[in-house]
Amino acid sequence: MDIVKISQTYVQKMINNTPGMKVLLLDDFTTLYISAIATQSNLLSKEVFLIDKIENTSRERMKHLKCICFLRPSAKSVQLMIDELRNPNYGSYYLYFSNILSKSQIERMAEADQQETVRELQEFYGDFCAVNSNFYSLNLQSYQIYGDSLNTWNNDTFKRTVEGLRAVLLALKKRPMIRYEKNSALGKRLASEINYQIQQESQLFDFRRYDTPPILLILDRKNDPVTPLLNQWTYQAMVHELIGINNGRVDLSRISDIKPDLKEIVLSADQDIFFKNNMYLNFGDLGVNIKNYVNEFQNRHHNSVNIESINDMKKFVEEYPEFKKLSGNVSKHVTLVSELSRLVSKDSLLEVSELEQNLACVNNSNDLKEVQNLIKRGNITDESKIKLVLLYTIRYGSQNRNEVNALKNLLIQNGISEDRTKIIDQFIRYVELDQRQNEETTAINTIFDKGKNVFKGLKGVENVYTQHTSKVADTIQSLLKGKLRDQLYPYIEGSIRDRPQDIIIFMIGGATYGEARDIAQLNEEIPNVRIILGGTSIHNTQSFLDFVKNAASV
Amino acid sequence: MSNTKTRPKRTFGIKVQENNSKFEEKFINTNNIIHNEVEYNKRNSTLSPNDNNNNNFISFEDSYQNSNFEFYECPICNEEILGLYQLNIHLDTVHTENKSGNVILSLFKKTQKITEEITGTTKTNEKPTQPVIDKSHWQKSTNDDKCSYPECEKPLGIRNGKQNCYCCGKLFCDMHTNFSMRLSESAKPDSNSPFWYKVCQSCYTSREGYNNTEGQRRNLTNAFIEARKNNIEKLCLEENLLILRLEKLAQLKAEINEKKGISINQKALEQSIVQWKEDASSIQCSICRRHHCRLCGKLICSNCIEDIPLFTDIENDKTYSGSTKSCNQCKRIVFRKKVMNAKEKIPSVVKLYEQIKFNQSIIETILPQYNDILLHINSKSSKNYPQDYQNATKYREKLIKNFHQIDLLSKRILKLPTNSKYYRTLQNNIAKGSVIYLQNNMITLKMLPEKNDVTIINEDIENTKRIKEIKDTLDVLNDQYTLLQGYYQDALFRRKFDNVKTLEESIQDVTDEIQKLKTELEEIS
Repeated sequence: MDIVKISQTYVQKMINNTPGMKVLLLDDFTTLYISAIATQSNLLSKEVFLIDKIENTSRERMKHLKCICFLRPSAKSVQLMIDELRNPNYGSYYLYFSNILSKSQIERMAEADQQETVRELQEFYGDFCAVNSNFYSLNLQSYQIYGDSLNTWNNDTFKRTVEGLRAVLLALKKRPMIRYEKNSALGKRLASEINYQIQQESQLFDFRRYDTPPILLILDRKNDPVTPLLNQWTYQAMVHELIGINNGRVDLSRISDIKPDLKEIVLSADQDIFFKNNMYLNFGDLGVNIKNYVNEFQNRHHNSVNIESINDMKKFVEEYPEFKKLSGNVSKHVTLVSELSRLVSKDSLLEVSELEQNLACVNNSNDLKEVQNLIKRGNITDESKIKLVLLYTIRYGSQNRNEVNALKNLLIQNGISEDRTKIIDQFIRYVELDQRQNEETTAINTIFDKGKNVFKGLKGVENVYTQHTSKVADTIQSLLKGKLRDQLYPYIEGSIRDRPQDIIIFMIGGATYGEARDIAQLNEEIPNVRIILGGTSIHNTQSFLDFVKNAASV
Repeated sequence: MSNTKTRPKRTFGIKVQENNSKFEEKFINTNNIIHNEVEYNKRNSTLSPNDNNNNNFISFEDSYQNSNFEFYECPICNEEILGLYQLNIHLDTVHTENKSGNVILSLFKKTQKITEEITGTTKTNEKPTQPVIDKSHWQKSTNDDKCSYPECEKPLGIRNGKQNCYCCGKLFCDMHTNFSMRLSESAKPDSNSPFWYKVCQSCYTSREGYNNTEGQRRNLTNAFIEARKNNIEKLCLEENLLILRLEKLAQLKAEINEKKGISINQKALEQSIVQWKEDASSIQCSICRRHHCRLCGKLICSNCIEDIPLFTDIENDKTYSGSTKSCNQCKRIVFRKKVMNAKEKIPSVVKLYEQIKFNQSIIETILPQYNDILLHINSKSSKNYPQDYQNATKYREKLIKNFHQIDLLSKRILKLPTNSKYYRTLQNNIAKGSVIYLQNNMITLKMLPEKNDVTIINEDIENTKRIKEIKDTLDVLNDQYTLLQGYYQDALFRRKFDNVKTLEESIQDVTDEIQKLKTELEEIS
């Protein structure tokens, strides 16, 4: 169930089967897919010497090249493919589509292929982005999720989501039992549509029998709005929270006097062993490791300076490419970590985070006072202040006597525009705080975990900045213990008593890198179950608040 | 299953212990454990025992600290089990719904019912009785067993547990048997079997399809080709018709060309070949100029009309007789075969790349042979040392020559002139790909070891040998020099001055060495 490996196998299958000089033709979406998992040297070594967009209509005729196309079967891409086949630029075509083609799409392409240049047509279900080995995203951050209300889907987004999630299941070769959160109308609709699709495409979904069927668990972001609000302290999550990861790339151009080759860096667990080993570690451990990494590099550097014999020389030349790579990697991580560390101290993030965690995990009589104190402080960003008020709102907003309005005013007094404080009301609307008031006793509606954590308790490492575990991790643990109640997490069809061995999670409204880390940890600690997480997009606080704003506008 | 006589054995329901009270004490303890076990299975079956079962386990160990570690026989299947704790797990997992009248089991069932009522998870489907599973392949238990999981090797016993994997039969610790699989009666993985068994991590993760990295695919090539074939058949009829018309038009044009000056009603003649649509028949777009396509006769706007060449014999370019107007759809159809069969000039980059591929194919056949011989020579298992050494030298020379060739070709490709940005990118990337290829294959090419002294007969031979050696080394050094220069330029370009310095020194070293060898070479010859 390693979604990165599966995606890479798709790409290998595409480019290995066709020897000779090749051009790879992609559309906007598949470009993201390919760039997340394949490297240029990998493509070059398989004779892919040109990569182009099918949208580019000024491409030249290059009859002696073979053309591999990997496209999303969207109306636009299929039309562009048809135009291409009418006036083919390349000698032969090998077509791969990332999702199910309709019969008429196939016929229209066949009709356009009057020159008989198409050699192959296949469906490879890579209609998502493989982020980590157990984390995927449908990359729908620019899509409006909601239709006319918070209980309905936007039609286009719904279609796109169904196609994406269906592709995930096909790529993983899973025909799952589907569960959803009872209070999520969107979840129910998605669950029943996926179920319908599986039955419609029963030939495609005909896999080997499992000992016990996998579970697809469809969750709704609104039931855990806390996790995306918290400051993150593990490497990958932290980079996304403080700087932003866009399809595996991090833009560092905002750092003054940055070297040109570090303006945009790639973070890939697949190609960068240091990142692989440290992506889930917290900031403290990371600091130690980066120091060792630098030392290791310096040792190697030192050795390479003392070249005495011809054999040393030969060794040096052999190792130089590796050495150069290491050198690039060291400066990449040092730059990144020092920027993170600069931001942490500049914006007093440790203090903010401590209060955030307290608000998220325990009731504390001092909460209000501390929130007020931090709002009045100067070296704390407006974003952090708003976040704190939002966390206060979730914890205390449903109580009869609360100070949400007073805090809002305090924000305004401290120079935050009234327009920006609107997010508080939008947030209340998004999380349906008024509806949760009376239902606090039922498990699903308590947004906060009760501070109980089996793993942390046992390990005895209580870190004040990482007290909070995401709700999805708690939900999975309940599911594995057989304690996830059918009434709250109903099956769309049938039900199963056996303990699941494979679990696929889909988060409507977007997942976070922090959650991905929690899931990675569960996978590590419980070897007899495999869990994979994904969502409509990947949030940091900023994108999550934009999403809430968008949601509240319907 | 062997019943070793030396081993103390117990059977449940039969009093085997002399001391009655002691037995009762154990019995009560067992009950507690069963209670715990039920809780454990209901809630915590997800976690490895190391994490969650610690408390149960420790209390169990405490109460049994003084008791000898003994084997028990399961009252239902007569399986021999080490320790009460394991027996309980066995009863729990294997004989869950067994209708035996055994006291413990009925108590267990009662407890289970109660917990089910509390948690509201009553089991609906009654499990059929567990059948006998093949255990003939089980590893025999001794006093000194270690966990068979790779790199675990924990001593097995009361602390780490001891459990046969029902699938492979080997003995494992608790942690590495915390996996369940459905097995057939012959102890093979079988998803259709109604029965779950404890298995080890290796069996669990190595079952078919578990580590699958191939996503689902659907090959639609045949459907596509079928659809295309139907379409092409229809198309051919139209194509032939249009070709006929085109050739007629060409003929017409040729005749007009001959009868220069004589006025002919060209329009009428053209219309005799294909009926033109009435001007009024189409109302679309009255703004742009409209034309009749001379091949299909339809009204076409000026955007979609093109001039096409006319040939009295479409397959023969020499029969060109002029041009006419046609819609681009007809153009595509009428010249379909002409375009498909057109011989295009092969660009130089393609020719050069073919040579690179040729060199690569030679390398790919020789390289494994070279490495093979080298292995023999190095491990001193070579039967015919001089012959092998000579072959290796020959192969090495050939390899180096081909690598060199690839390097030269890729540099030529890089320098090919072109105005097209696409060909420019193509050429750059081919060169880049060649560098990667050389890095992966040439730099890792292993050196030949020093030749054995035995074969040296006289100075003369030694001199020639030395010259050859120097030349070989010089070749390698020259390659390294070129490579280092490349790195140096690259580092300079990227302003990596640390690396620049190191590289400068290295280049100096190589230059010195080359100079030294050259001097030696001159001296010898």
